[in-house]
Amino acid sequence: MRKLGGDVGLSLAVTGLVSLAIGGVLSRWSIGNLTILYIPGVLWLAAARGRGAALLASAEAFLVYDWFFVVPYHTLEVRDPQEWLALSVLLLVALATGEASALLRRQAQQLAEHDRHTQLLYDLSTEMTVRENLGGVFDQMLSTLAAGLGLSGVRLYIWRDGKRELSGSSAGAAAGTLYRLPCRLGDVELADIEVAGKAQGEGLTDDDLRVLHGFANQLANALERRRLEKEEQLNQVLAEANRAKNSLLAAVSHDLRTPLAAIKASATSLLQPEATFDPAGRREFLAAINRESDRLDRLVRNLLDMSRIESGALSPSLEWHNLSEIAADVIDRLQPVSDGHELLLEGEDREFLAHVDYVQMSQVLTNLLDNAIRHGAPGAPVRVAVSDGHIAVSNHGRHISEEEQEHIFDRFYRGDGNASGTGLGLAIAKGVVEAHGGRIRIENTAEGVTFHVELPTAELAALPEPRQAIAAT
Amino acid sequence: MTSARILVADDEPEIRNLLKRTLAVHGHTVELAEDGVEAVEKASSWRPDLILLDLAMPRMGGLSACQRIREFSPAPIIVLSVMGEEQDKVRALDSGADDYVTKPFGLEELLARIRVALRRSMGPPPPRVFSCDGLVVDLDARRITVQGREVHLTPIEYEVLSHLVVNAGRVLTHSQILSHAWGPEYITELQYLRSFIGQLRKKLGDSAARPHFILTEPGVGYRLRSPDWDG
Repeated sequence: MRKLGGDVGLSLAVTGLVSLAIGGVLSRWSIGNLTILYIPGVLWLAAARGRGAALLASAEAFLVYDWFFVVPYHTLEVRDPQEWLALSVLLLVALATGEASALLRRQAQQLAEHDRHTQLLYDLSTEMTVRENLGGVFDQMLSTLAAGLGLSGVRLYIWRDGKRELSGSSAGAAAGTLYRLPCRLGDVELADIEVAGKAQGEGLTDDDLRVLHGFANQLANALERRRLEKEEQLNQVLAEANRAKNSLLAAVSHDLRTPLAAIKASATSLLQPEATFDPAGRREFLAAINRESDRLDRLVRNLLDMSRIESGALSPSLEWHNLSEIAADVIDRLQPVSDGHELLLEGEDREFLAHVDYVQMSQVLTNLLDNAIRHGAPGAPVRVAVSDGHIAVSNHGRHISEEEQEHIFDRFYRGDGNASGTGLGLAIAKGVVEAHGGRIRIENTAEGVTFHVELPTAELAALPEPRQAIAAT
Repeated sequence: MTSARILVADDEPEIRNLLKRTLAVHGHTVELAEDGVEAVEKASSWRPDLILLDLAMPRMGGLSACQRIREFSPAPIIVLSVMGEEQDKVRALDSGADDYVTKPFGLEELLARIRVALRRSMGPPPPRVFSCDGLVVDLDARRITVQGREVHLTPIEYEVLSHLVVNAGRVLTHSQILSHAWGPEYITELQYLRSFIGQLRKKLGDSAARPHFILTEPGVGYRLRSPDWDG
């Protein structure tokens, strides 16, 4: 209504001005038909205001000219056929030019709109490709879209595992659905967009739909890309797990075979019917069988622990234990198989209580000692020092470089390549110590390397002092 | 050593046959059972003097079998378990099993356990004076000496030690000791027990890291060294 009012006002003003000018001219000179003077005004109105204003101005010009300047004056009667012709030409010219310029104007407007929409789609598409985490920017994108098209609300639903989930909406999205737009890739519907309607209550234009479809296509592509990226990541994880499994199998079969070979060789030697061994010889074979089966037992325990750590099933059953007792137990078990390294214990004269799982902490110490023995200088002692919440295992031997320290606790890491072992021992030690809330660290010392196990000691305070309170009962 | 009728229940044929042959060599008569159900049946029909019971068996596990057997038979039960079955092991001990060995075990260890269990069930009543490696406990006089030196204990320390002495060579669970020395309402007070054992060891001259007399059975309880162990 406002536009119509403006059109009427402007057309009246233009017609009035031109009519005054014509009146002025005719009062001095007698010139034939001057209707042509209205044409520039009508043209201007058509360009500036559109077809309606041009038509109005033509009609007004027709009437005003007829009333004031055509004989008989002050009537709408027209006697002279020549005047009829002039007035009709005025009307026709005004109509044609008005229509033409209004068309131009509309085209210019459409072009500008189109430009804006193209820019909008471009902006949205760069957001979709630039951002890695698409989920975080959906709301923002939909808000941009809604603002760009003047929509009252846009919602995005994405199909996930066969369910249609609301995944984003424009800021302050209005309720209701005017239009639902699927985002398809081929025949597969990946998502859809619901449009609540135009903010001004109008219908969607073809141009709006074009933008929305463009957006839907881009979105479908982006979602597909994301799905492929995820699939790729999963594939990498699976490939990594597969590599790990293969290297575990290789390491395990090698490490299982070594003691098995020794056991088999000893047993078959003893079984040979023709061979006779003196008691000392027999004993040697039997001792080898005994020793190697202990080695097998330790290996199987490590494998079990590793799988528990991997699956997160390693839950220490914590009790108060004396760390020096655990250390002594492990040292006594390993001394016979320590390849001539003397295993020394410092701090055995005292109790150092810690809240630990006995079996798991024994395994940590077994693995650290095993590592210290294997990488220690031949014949040099390996020292275990126990104090409050702390165990240190030290050997004599080569240092561990910074770079190596970063990988030494990785599964299947096997040092300089000629090292024996599954590469599981230290990984398990770390996993177990961390499950206890402690940490494990490496220190290069003057003689060699020390592995420190540090366990939380806060709980020690909660432990009641040895006292006679209930002893007195 | 006494010869006895021993029932071996294990689902592994290799283990069953090995145990049968070894125990026969040591003069025992052996009967085999492949699972818990058969173990309960044979414990009832064959009336063994001692039962070796694997914890992880098909049809009926060792824990249930142990509880069922205890309903009718006082024969000592020694549980065979693998590492990681600590909970079941303790439950079996608390519900009537006499002892346990952890697989893989050395035969000398198993034979020592069997000896201790048979001595308790079939042998003459234990002497009132216990003596092992220089530790002498006179239960009637309530007098304790280590290498001839007299040791003074508080009443509770004496309760703990005498309970271990009466069961020498055999594992006692934490709750069994706590319940005996302090009463059933104290069976969860592990710290008390731990600090008393610490004091007791100190008084007996035991090293903290390598105790000679009172041995730790991690996660299970304590065991007093027995002269029976050396055959």
